[in-house]
Amino acid sequence: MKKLLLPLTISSFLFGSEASLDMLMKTYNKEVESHKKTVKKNDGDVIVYSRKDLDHMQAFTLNDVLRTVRLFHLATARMGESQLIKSTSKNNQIARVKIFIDSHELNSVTFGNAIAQYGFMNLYFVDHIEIYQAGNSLDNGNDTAGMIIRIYTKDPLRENGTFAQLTYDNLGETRVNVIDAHKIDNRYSYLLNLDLQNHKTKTITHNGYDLKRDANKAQFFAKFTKKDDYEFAFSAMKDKAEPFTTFSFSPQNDRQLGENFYIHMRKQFTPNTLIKASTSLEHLEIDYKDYNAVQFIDGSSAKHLEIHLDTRSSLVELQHHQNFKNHKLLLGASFERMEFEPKSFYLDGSAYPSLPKDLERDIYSIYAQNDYKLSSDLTIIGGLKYNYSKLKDGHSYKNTIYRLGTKFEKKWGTFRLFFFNKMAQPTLDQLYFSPIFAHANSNLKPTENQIVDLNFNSQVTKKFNFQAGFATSKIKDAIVVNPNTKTFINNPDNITFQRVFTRLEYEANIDTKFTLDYFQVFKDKTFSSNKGFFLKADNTFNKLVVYNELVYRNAYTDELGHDIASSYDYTLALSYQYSKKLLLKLKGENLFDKAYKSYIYDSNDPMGGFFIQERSRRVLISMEYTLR
Amino acid sequence: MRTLLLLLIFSLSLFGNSLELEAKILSFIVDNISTNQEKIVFSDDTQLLKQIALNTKVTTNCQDASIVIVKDKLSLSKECLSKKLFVLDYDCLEKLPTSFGAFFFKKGRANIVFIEPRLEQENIHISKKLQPYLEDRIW
Repeated sequence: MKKLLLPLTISSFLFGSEASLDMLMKTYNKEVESHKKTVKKNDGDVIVYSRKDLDHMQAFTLNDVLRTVRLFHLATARMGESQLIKSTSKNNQIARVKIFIDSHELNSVTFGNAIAQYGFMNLYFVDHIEIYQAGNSLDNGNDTAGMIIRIYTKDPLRENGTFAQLTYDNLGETRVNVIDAHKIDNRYSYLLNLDLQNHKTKTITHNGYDLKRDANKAQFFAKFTKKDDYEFAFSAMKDKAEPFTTFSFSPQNDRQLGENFYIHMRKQFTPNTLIKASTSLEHLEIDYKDYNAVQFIDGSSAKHLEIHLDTRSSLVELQHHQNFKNHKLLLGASFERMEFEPKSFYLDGSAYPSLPKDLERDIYSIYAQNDYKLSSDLTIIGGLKYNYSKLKDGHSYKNTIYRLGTKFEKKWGTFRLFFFNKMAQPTLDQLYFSPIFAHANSNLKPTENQIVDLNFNSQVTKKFNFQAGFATSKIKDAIVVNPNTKTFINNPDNITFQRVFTRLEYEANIDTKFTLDYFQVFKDKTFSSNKGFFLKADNTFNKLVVYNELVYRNAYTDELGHDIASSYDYTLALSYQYSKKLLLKLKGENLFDKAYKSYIYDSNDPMGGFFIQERSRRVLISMEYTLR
Repeated sequence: MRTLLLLLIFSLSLFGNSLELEAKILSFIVDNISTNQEKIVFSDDTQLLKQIALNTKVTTNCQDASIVIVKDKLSLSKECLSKKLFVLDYDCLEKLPTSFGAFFFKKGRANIVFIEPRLEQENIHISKKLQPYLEDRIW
C-alpha cells in the first residue's frame, strides 16, 4: 500500500487543481531532453551531460566537461594546452579519444587525437554531450579509441532565437558567444554560431623567462537542415597562441597558428539508410624564435624554428539500420583518405633536408552490428568490423575488430557484459615524420587492445540511481619511445590494468540533484593519479541556480620521481534569471587553487623544471541576452 | 484498489510520455482561462487532441470548437482561424494576430506566453496561476 502512495501523491500533485504549471513545465522539459533520443546505452559505459547539466555547470569549453570525466584527467602540456591523459599514464602520454560533432568525426590526421585542437572548443552551440567508455560500439569511425565523445549541436527548432553571451574574468579574459537559430519553414532550419575569445592565464617565470599560454581564438559553426532529409554543416576554428615553453624554455618572439575547417553532409535516403560525407583541413604554422638553441634528436640544433603543416581528410560512409523480428541490425561501409603534408620545415633559415612527401593513408572499412533480443530480459549484441588501410609507400594493414556482449535486463536493474578486441593504427607522425622528440618508424604495428567490461545500472528508487562497472584491459604492441634510440617502437611487453567505477545519482526533486562518481585503476606501474571522484550538487531555487562541483584526483609519483599532491578542483557556478531576456552568471573555477598538477621537465635546467596546475584559479562573470 | 492501480499506471505513464504531458499542460491552460462561451477544444494535431480529451471537452470538428490549438496554420480553414487561437509555434503568434498565447520552444526549453492586449481583445480572462506567463507584446 505504501508503494502505491508515492505515485498516487505524484499523480494527484500533477493532476490536482493545485498543480503548478511551473512544475508541469519542468517535468515536460525534463521528459523531452534531446539526449533521450540519441543516447545508446548498449554502446559502452555512457556518461551524459544534458543541456541542463552544461548550462548549470557553465561549461564554456569542452575541457570544462572533460575535466570531470572519470578515469581521465587533464594536464598541462609543454606547449601550454590542456591534454587529456588516461589515469595512471604519464602526463605527456596523450589519451587516444575520438570526438564527433553530430555525425562528423573531428579527425586529427597527424596526431591521431583531436583534443589538442578541440579541447578549447566553445560549447555555446552544443546541446548535449555523450561520453562512451570501455568497449564502445563499432559505429565510431575507422579506428578505435579509449573514449568516444559525441557532441550534439543545438536543434534550431528548439533554439528558435538569437542569443548573445559576454564573459569576462579576473585574469583579463574576454569571450563573446553569439548564436542565431531558426526554422525557415516547416522543413528547413539553420543554426549559426560565432565565438571569439582572448584566452588569458597566469604567466610563469622560469629561469628569468616569461612563459605564457595566452591565445586568441575564433570559432564559427553553421548548420542547415532539411527535416528527415539532409543536413549540411560547416565549421572553422582559428587559434593564435603563445606556445608556453616553446622547445627550449626561452621564448623570444614566438607565434603558433592553428586552423581547422570541415564541411560535413548527411543525407537520409530512407528512414533506415543514410550517407555521410565530409572533408576537413588542419593547418598548423609554428614560428619559434628562442634565446637558447633547441636540441633535436638527430643532434642538430637551432634557435629559430619554422614549421608549416597541412593535413586533410575526406570520408564517405554509408549506413543502414534494419529492425526485423527481434533483431536490430546495423550495416556500414566507409572509405577515408588522410593526407599529411609537411609543407615547410626550416631550422635557422635552412630547409630541413629530408622532408617527407605524399604521405597518404586510405582506409576501407565494412562493419555489421546486431542486437538480438533473445527473450524479454536478455539481449545478445555482436559486432564485427574489417579495416584495410593502405599507405602510399606500399605499407598496408588489415585488421578485424569485434565486440561481443550481452544485456540482461530486469526491473531491478540492467547488467551489460562486453568483450571488445580493438586495434589502433600508428599515427602518421609516428610512422613518417617526427623530427623533434623521437624518430619516426615506418615499421610500427597497430596497437591491439582487448577489453572485458561489465557494468550494472539500477534505478533503485525514483530518486536514486546506482551504476557500477568493472573492466579489465590488455594492451599489446603499445607505441612507446625507446629511451636509448629515441625512436617510436612497439612495446614488447603487454600492459594490463583493471578499473572499477561507481556512480550514485540522487534526485531529491526536479530542482535538486547530487552526483558522486568514483573510480580506481589497478596497474603495476602508475605515473599519474589512479583514483578520483567527481562530486556534484545542482540546486535550483526559483530563478537562481547554484551548482557545486569538486573533482578529486589522488597524489602520485611521476616517471621522474616527483611526488605530486592530491588535487581538489572546486567550481562554484551561480546563474540568475534576472528577466525573461537576461541571464546573469558568476563562476569560480579552481577556487581552492588545488587543480591537477603535473611537472614540466626542462633538460637544460639544472633544477629540472617546474610544477604547473592544469588551470588557474579565476572568477568569471557572464551576461546572456536574448536578442530575438 | 483497481482505481488506485489505474492511477498508478496512469501516473507512471505520465512520466514516460511527453505527448501526455503536453496535453496535460494544455488542459491546465484551458482550465485556467475563461471566455463567454463553453470551452470546447479542437486541434489540428489529432494525437494531441486525443490526449487532451482525457481531461478536457474536445471536438473533432473545428466549427464546433470555441478554442483552437494550432500546430500548423496552413491546415486550418478561415472559419477555424476566427476562433480563439492558442498556438504551438512562436512564429504563429506573430503570423496570427488574433492568437492569444503560445506553447513553444525557445533556448532549448518549452515556454508558455500569453499576450495581454490580445487577451483583452479576445475577451479572455486568465486565472492567477497563468499570470506569471503574461507578456505585454511579442518578443
